[in-house]
Amino acid sequence: MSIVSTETDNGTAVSTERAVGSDRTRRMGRRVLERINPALRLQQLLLFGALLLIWEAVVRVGWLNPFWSSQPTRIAGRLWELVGTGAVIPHLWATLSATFMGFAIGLVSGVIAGALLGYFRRLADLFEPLVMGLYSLPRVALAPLLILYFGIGLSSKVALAVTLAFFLVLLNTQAGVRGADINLKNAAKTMGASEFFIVRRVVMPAAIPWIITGAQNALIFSLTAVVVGEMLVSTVGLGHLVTRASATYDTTSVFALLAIMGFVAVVLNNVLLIIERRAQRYSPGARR
Amino acid sequence: MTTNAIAAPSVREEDEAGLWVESVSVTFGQGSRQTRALSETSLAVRPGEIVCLIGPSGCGKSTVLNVISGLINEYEGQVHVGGKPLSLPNRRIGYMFQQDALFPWLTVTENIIMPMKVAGVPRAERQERTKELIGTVQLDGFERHYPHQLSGGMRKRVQLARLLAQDPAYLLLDEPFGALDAQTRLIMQKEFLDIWARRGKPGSLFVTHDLVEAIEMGDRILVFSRRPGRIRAEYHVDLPRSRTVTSMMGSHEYETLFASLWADLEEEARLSMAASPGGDES
Repeated sequence: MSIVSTETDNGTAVSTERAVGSDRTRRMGRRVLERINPALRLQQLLLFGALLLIWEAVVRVGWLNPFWSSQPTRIAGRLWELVGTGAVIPHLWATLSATFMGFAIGLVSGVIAGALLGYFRRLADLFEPLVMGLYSLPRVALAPLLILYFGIGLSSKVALAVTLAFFLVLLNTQAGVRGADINLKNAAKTMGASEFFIVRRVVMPAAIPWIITGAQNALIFSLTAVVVGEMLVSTVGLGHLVTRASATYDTTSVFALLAIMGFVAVVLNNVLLIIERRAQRYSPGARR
Repeated sequence: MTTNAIAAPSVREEDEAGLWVESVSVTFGQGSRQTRALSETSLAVRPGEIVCLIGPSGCGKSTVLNVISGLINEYEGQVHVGGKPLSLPNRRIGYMFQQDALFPWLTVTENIIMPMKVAGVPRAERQERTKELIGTVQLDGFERHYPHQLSGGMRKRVQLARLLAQDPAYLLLDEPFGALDAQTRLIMQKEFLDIWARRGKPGSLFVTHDLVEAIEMGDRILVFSRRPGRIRAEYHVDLPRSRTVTSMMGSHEYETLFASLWADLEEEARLSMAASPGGDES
């Protein structure tokens, strides 16, 4: 009798376990839907539209001088000139290519350095004051020096972006590598895995959520660094256009350029969010 | 039935086969903060038997497993496997942890394949053996699920399959079902014994703090003393195999064994609690 009941218990337990699995999957599906809540998205758009309307109204009534504040209708017109005629394209390209190059170099070197410092404790202890010192330094202050070394062209902007991206990726990678679950490393060890195998198959995959977080910050900071570099000395780029426009008191163009840069930043951020979600499909919301 | 308690088993008998731990001592820390976790412990696991280790928390039960598996390298004494000194890494010794040690970024299939990748098993054979193992632990249909999508019991099954994928001659099990709820634990114990028997009964060292589990699983039960751990007593379990909680209940042998085990364990646990409030598991 006892054996029979155990067997039945066994059967039911298996089926409840299955139910748990599929329920989880269903809940995950619902969460993805919640992220694109259309009602909320509409409210967000309405708020943005309302702010633009107030801006326009305040200028039209005469409470603000459009010489300083410009106004949405003029900015829209300028945006159309810049984008519609394609005048902004070479500048956008210059800014984006410098951003991506700086980001890519910072990402690769940051992952390598971060993995080494995360893995070799003594190396991390040795480099810690240097890394933290350089990380704390306001790196845009390096721009004049970098322009001196790399000239006024693309490479000085890339270099400035690297100084920001590198440390962000390094510190995140280091934290991820160091924080890799000891149980997982031990599990691989008891399978007879070599140290190299453990690093490649256990430690680095465990650090990927951290690396992605570092990369997200690094990309936005690369864009910032490139724009700052272009504002200092350049003949091309969105930052260069902003400086030129403000030098001629052309606030309408400045606002139009800000809108373009904001749009670029939002697109870049969303691309990285999609990558993050894909990379973390194995555990939704494990690290945000 | 013989429940004769021996002070310590005499190691190195005539048979060379098996897993032998001889006078192993382990000390953690340095200087004034030294803790002796194990003291001159000797035990043997022969092919085909399950030896259960019970003892108070923090008595060094897990330390024994960590020495055998190579997770602890610094110890005094000797470990022999199949007549030869232990060499590391040793793929013939499989280890199942209490904690979930599944790789969260890998699917069920990929987790089970891992030890075969380590061992360099050819791809075709890997696929075939994984399929078979998934069938063995009844996880058909969950091949592409990630661990977080599975219940606690199913995750244990994946771990069991991964353990078997290593094709181990010896199993080290550290409270493998300790974290499960009571019903799932009973189910997993039975399934483990079934699979263990079907897989040629690899010699197993099973750490537990659950007396019923020890009696259900073990051919022999070793009772550990409080820290520094030594073996205080050895019991042979002569109840017929395919023991279940319900079949053992009311049996005279079971009750006598339970009472003697508990008498030993209770004394050690009380002494251990008096010695170190809030004892930690090592």
